[in-house]
Amino acid sequence: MRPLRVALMLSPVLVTACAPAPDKQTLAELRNVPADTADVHVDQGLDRAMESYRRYLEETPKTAMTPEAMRRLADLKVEKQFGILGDGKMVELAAPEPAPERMVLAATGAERPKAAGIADLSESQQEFERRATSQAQLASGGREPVSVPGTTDTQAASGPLEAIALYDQLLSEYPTYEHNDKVLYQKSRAYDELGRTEEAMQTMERLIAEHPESRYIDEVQFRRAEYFFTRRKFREAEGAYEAIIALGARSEYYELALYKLGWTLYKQEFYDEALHRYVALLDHKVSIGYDFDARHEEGDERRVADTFRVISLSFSNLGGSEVVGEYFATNGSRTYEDRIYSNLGEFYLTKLRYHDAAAAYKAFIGLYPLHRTSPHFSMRVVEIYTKGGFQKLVLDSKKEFAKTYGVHAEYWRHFAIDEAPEVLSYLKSNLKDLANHYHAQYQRADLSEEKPANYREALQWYREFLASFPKDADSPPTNYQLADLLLEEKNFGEAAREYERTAYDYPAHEKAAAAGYAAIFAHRENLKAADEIAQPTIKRDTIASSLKFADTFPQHEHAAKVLGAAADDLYELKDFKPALAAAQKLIERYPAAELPVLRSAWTVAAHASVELAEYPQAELAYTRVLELTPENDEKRAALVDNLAASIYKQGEAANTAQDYRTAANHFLRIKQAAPTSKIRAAAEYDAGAALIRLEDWTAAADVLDAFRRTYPEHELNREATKQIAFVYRQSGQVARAASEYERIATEADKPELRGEALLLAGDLHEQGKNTERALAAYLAYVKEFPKPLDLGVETRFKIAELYKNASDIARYHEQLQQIVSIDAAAGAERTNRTRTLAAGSALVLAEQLYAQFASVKLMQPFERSLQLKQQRMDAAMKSLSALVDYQVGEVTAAATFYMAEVYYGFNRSLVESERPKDLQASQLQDYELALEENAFPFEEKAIGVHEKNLELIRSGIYNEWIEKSLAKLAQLMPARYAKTELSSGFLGSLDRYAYRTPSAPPPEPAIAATAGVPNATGR
Amino acid sequence: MRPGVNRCFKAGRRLVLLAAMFVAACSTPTKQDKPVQKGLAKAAPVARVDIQQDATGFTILEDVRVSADLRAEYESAVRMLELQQYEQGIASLLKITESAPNVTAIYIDLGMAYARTGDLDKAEESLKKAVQLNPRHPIAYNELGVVYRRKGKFNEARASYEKALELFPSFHFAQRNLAILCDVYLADLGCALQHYTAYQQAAPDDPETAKWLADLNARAKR
Repeated sequence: MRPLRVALMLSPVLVTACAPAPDKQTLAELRNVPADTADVHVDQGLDRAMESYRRYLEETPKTAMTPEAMRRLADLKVEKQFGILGDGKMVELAAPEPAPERMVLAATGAERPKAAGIADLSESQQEFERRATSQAQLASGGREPVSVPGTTDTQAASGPLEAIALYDQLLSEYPTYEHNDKVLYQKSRAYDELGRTEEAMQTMERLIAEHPESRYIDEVQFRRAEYFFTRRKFREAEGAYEAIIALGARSEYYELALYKLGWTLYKQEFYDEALHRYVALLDHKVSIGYDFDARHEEGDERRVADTFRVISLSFSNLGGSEVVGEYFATNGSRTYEDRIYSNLGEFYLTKLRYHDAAAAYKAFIGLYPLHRTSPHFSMRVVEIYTKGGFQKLVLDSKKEFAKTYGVHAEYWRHFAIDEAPEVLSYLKSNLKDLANHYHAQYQRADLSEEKPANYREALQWYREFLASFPKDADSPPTNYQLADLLLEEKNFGEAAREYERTAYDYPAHEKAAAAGYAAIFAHRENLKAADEIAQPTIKRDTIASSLKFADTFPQHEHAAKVLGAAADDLYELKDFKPALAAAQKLIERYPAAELPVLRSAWTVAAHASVELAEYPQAELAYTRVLELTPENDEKRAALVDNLAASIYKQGEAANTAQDYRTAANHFLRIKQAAPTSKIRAAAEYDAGAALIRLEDWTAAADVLDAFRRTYPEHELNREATKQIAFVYRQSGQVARAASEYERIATEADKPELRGEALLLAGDLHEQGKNTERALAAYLAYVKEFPKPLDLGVETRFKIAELYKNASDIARYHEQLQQIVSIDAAAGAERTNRTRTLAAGSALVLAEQLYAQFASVKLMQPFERSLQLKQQRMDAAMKSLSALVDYQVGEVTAAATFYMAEVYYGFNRSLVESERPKDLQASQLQDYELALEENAFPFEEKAIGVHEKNLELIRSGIYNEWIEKSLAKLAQLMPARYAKTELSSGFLGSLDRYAYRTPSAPPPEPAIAATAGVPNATGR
Repeated sequence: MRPGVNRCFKAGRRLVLLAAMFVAACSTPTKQDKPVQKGLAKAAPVARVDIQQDATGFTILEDVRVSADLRAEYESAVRMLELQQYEQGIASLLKITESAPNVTAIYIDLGMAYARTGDLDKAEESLKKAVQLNPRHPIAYNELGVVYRRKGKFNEARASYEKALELFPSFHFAQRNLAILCDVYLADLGCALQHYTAYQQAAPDDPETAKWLADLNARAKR
């Protein structure tokens, strides 16, 4: 109690010191009264002042100052008794502490959006009404009388009563006193303090009646209003409140009056009317710049909050949120409408009227979808339903929210999305909730019928999330979930794409590798399910994904396997280069990979290298594959064959490049590198062929001979023999070559091959001077191959020559005869060559007849030898004449020469014939004359025939036979034919040659000295 | 045919020269151009063969620059040929051509030597080389004519003799040889008569000529 008292004691001093109030000026005017107040102690000041006024009134005659002193004295008495100085100021009561759960937090944990101005609803409605409608406490009222120490109750009551008496005296004695309104006011208060309320009311009413313009009117009216209100005299209260309101905002009681008038009407269930007052109060607040979101004086804040709350009550009573809309539609909209709705919503929520609560919020959203607070209201709706446990409504409202405030929604064309982080955050969790919810529903076995719908929903919300928050930290895991969903739905292709997005389209995150691996799994599942047309594309996608995985997550435990599988697939697709690259990457990067993986990689590398014609690489790879393949593996044989083939191909390439040595080396290498390969034999044969091209005859022969011995049954065996024969022939080993051809001839399965081999064998033996074996080969040929005719004739000609050289004349002539006969019977098969060879042969045979003719000498008995000579002459001539038919120039000339010689020979035989021994000298003379006469025509004939030969020159023929005829003619007719050309003889000088015509006169001595014509007259 | 080829060759060489001059005239001389010009100038033929002739005969002079040793070798070779040691003589001459590849006389002698050994192909080849080196050498043409005749190339023989006579009409070897060709081989009696007559004038001391002419005239009358 003491501090309060001290405070009360202090207040007059303070007032005295500084208050500019007119009352105080009045009081100050009393200073000229010699009342010693200035020095008195405060707690003694009141008594001294009263004593001072009293003395004044007692000692001073009544003046104009008397009523003033009376009033002051009365006032002091009241003040002394109750400790009040009647300035009528309202003293606000302390507001209760705010309840701890003022805001309801969202289920997601996101901070509940601010909703300033929401009334404190922890207070029950009854308590609220009681508190809000309790009489406003005025500075002078509502408190127990303050007991002054040292005073008794009777003493206590005496002061006010004395004051009232003084006031009454003043009123009656000075009815025109200018401060009578104040006197009345103080009097009413004194009654009030004494608890004599009715008298106080009368006094106030007198004041209102007598002093309508008094500055105490509003306070007095308010006191009256409160009086009526507490006595439920609402009609009277209304009047009093309205009287204050009529004064306008200048009255300190304006707001309070509006507020209490509202309540007054509310209490009478005139909710509409009440609302008008509350709205007017809020309008007033807005008009004076009140910011609902800012902090204010506690009382002010509380009243605003209470106003909202009672508005909620009013609307609730009128029918709820629908009425709110109608109200503002009728009365014009307000900037704080959102607070009206939110207060109503929260009000309903305290009543557990969830639907009404949500409806209130939704009503606002419906009216103002593009209002700044609408997303928050939408969020609140979700929270309300969550509180109410309405799962379906929660979902619907979440969806509604997501739709209305999605990142791409219309709303954000009006508001900057970055400035609403809490909405975004809510949207994010909302989308995630939706997606997860539907995903979970989708997975529930008991909801199989709804599975498609749940799938669609989950898909939609996952996608919405990812589209809205592509760079959010939650996006990768969300994307992963989306991919999982797709996979569960067996939409493998899409799943793969989403896993890939998860793995590769975000900054590194912990699930990236797993997603990458899952992508490959999804691709492979997709592949299993795909039809043939789709397979290649999917396979390529699988490969691309696998390669990316291996490159992006090289440390992943399955990276090597994945890479290997990609290499396999690439090979299958005939993408050999990439297949090789993948396999090589695996080999280089994972040398410690599992054996089957490494082996598979080497296998792809090998096969792909073959396809790419990279044979050295293929060889290396096959070698590695074989190293990694167990000895008893059934694939070994094929691998060995491949290894051999890759070496063989290198040989082929070298052959193409005409690098035959290298080619041969490659071919021969197969023997060591892949001894069991099928191609080995052929390779060795080809090595021989390459060496032949290289003309390394020795090596070629060795290789081919080895081949022939190693593979006696090989199909190329005969070819090898031919090659060997060729090699021997080329290297000049004709005898060995010939033997090989004989072998070929023996082994030949085709006649033409045998014929050819026999001819070659014969030819080679001939070159090797082995006449016997040459003849054997040729004879075998002509026996077996009469056709083609010209080749037979040619071969017989060779046979003939061999016999001739061997001096086996009989067989020689026999062959010539054969040639002539064959040619004669050849018919259409006769050729120039057979004709020429036959002509030559016939000439030789004819020469024999000529020789037989020439060998016959005419001896005694003359007749007999002449007959023989003539017979042989006829035979020779017949044979020679036949030669002309061959029409071979040289043979014709020869035949002509021999015919001439037959004539000349006959001439000489006659002339030189043995003379009969028994003739007389004269008889002998006659005989010789007769001989000469008979012989001479043969000489003439000989000359004529030889000259015929010269005529051949004019046909363009000139040969040894013509020369021989000419030589004969030179003998027979030297004057005509023994004419020789002259040569000037060797020059004998390098730099000078001088000629002088023999008929020229003797030369000048100077020239003669050097001019040599040593051979000028011929040899 | 050969002379024709020869002419082409020469014309070709001249063209090259002209071209080189043209290049020199129209292009800015550069260091690379100069040696080329020099080279071509060096390659130009020199007048190394000279022929002097009058009604009584002719003298062929050839500018041959060889060592004395080589001359001696040549003379030795010719002596061997005259002694009918053809094989050694030919070998010796061939050896000389290695050092002196452009001397006409050596090829004429080689041609005669081959002809005497019966190697008519080589004889023809050598004599053709000779007329290529000196297309105005009547000796070479005469010898070549004989080789052609022996090979049965009568038309070529006749042309070769005629070429020799064109160079020097009183060249009695060619007159006689052409007359025999026409007489014995070509049966061209008019030609034979003409050239026997010319031969007789050039070499009036040959006693056979009158008989041959008489026989010829007799045949001509038949």
